[in-house]
Amino acid sequence: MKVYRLLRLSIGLVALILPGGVAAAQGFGLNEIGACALARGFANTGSPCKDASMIYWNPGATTTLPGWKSSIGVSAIALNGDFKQDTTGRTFEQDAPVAWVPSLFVNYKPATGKASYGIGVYVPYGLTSQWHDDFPGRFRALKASIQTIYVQPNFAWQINSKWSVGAGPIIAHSGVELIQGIDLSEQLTPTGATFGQLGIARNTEFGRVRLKGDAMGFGAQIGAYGRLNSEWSVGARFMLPITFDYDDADATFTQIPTNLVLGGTVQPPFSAGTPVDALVAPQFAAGGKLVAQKATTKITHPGQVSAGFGYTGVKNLGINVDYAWVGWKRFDVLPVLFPNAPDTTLNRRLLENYNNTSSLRIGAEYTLMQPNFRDWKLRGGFQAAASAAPAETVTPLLPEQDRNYFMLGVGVPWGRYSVDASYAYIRTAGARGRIVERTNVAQTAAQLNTGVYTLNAQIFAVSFQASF
Amino acid sequence: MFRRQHMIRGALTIVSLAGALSCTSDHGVIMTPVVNPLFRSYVAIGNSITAGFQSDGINDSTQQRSYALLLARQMNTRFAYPSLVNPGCRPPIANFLTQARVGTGSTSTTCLLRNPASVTEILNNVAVPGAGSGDADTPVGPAGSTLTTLFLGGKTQVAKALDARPTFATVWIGNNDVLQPAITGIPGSATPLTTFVTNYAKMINDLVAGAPGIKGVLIGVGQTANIPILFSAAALSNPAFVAGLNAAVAPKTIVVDVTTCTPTSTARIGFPIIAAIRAFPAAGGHPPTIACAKTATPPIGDIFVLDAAEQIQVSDLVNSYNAYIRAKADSIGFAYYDPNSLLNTLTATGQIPAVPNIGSATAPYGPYFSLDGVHPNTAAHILIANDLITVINAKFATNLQKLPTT
Repeated sequence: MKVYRLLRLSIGLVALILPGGVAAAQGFGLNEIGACALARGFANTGSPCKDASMIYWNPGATTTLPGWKSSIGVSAIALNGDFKQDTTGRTFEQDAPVAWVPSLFVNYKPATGKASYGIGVYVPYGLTSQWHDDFPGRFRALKASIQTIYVQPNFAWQINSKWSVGAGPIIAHSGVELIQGIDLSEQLTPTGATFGQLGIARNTEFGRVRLKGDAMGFGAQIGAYGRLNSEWSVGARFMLPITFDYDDADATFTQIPTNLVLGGTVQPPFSAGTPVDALVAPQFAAGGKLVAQKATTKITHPGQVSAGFGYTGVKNLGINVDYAWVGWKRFDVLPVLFPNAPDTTLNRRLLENYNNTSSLRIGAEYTLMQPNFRDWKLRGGFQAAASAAPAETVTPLLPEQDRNYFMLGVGVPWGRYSVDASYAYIRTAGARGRIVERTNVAQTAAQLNTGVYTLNAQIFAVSFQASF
Repeated sequence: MFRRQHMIRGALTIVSLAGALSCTSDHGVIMTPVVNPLFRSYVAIGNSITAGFQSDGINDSTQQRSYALLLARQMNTRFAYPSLVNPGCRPPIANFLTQARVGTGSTSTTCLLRNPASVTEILNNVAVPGAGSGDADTPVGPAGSTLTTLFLGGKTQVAKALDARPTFATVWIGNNDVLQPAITGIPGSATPLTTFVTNYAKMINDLVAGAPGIKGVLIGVGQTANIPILFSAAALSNPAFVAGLNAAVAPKTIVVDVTTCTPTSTARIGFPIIAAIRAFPAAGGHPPTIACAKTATPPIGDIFVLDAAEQIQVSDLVNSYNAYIRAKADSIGFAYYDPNSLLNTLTATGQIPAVPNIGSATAPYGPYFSLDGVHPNTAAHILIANDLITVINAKFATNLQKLPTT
């Protein structure tokens, strides 16, 4: 009967969350922190994996780890995405390299006492979106990369035999890199008209800008864990948002040959036979607008809340269910400003208008008892996540869309050591998106979107655990 | 054991159910369904007619009346054209009698730029007014103009067409190789056949090489005999017609050379002679005497006059062009359309008048030519589109529907 009650509860949660229009999801978040957690569908708050990655998944639960525990792991994320353009029917493949997401945790819980101490180094947010040079959306992003690392010292306290809490400050470092084409058709001529009005086609790349900068940020995470009885456990955690001000980013510009030659005279200096590249070359020379300079941007890594439960009432089997909320609404506008430029025409305020998101995570772990495989863990998980981005913000920067995660994994003990390995497949159905800039909020998805983004990914993760 | 199996089965059910609920069954792709995959990407290469030039001008309104756009609509395929801000570049003539142009204060040098909303990566109508066979595949061709830059932005028509990865093309190039020489009465300045063939072959070969598998229609060159801007010299025996011309050149007065201009004269006179007489004695002007055959005082009787021999010379050249175009179409699996069947019919039925009604403000050249006497008007574009549909359906076994003609 208990099993059926659990099923009914789980199904109810699914029905409540998924179809009701509650966005669930991801943005540039990364949950690939520990191979065990990945294999369990990230359902790791109410009954975390018994390793030091608890420092991230539930800082309050680390009092359940006796002695010294360490965990080191890495996840390899291989993206496979493309964009199919309506107008030409062409499909443009992504060119993103495999992303490697590391994590390292150490925790110590004395044999006596109620406190535990630890430190975690992990990557909860990150992004690499990269396209080939002929991608028509390169004017929004040819490459977008966010590399963030959080360092979290952790302190947890066992309140009583059932409940414990934990918290720790977060010191974070984030590096950002954005490479964009510069569209000649959008540039102003001396008369005030754009080059586009003089006939230059949209997406005529005459230059390329690379912004690179880094910033520090500070936050905190707290968690609580409760062992209600021998079968049920619950947990919750809250991570503060961290805003990174990239105030001293470097912007460099490179001229890209267009090889265009004007076929007829419009107005001086736009005369028949004039190479367009000669017309724009002074912009890249000393005194021009497109020379190396400083740039600023600001990105907030949103806060996270998750809560869940674990059930171990079935012999050798654990079931975990989490609900997770991420405050993506803070990713509303992405400013890219050039404070030392002679005018403001280079400045951009990219409208993102993300929505807060929720997701449901379901995982299971089965412990083998056969003599040759004693205490081996077989794990499986699933996560359904709707897009954080609204329909008008599916862009080359991040072609965000609804996703389903399917995970499998295994844990192999070896004395004081163990190794976890897992695999996840991320599937999307595709989403219509844009390759042009959205310049005001009145522009709708139907007006902006000119193709379909598809995105799939495979993740391999491995973690090594040691106990002392 | 039983309990565990149920548990696992239940978990799988949850996963399946959650997956089913969260999967997006369709990503909302709303694509215009073309009537045939052949027309997935249609491009139109050409000159002023294809671009939508009418009444000595072009703007968004006339661009929307091009046969190419009408054809694209019947294909139900995307068709982007380089829309010009109204009143245009240059604005079309709105009144034949006053020569007033569309838009307050507009002149023949008024030129507004591209509509910002029309700035797009891919154009389907890449035709440029004035383009001849030497222009469509050359960055800076002999007929390069302001519109060449405004429409192509530094590319050639062929390169611009290939940007669209075309599956279907119409190509109507060649009229300008012979038009001005005919109108100005200097047929010797027309593009020689060998040059035309070289230019045309390069254009088509580059198009086909850049778009493997492309199909389409090559359109022949119109005979200048069917263009009402060249009027019958016999009309100069009509005092009322001459009075109308005098009103147009006032305060000058036209002198008709009655020794060469008789009621049986077969010469054709280019209407731009009127503007030239008005401009005389400035450069490019013409004395106010009109002769219908060459005289001892050139340019009288020569410039703006196509005598019988010159008409044959022009006609033969056009026939040679068209023979090559037809053969080229056959060689690449394209259809061929000869517009002269339509023009001959309209001429034979008097709908292309031999003599313009110069008292009419809105239809001096009949019901199918615009106010410049060279470019088809909207009604004619519909006829051309329908003729093309007939040709396309016959060649490619398609089922494009014709446009209503009323």
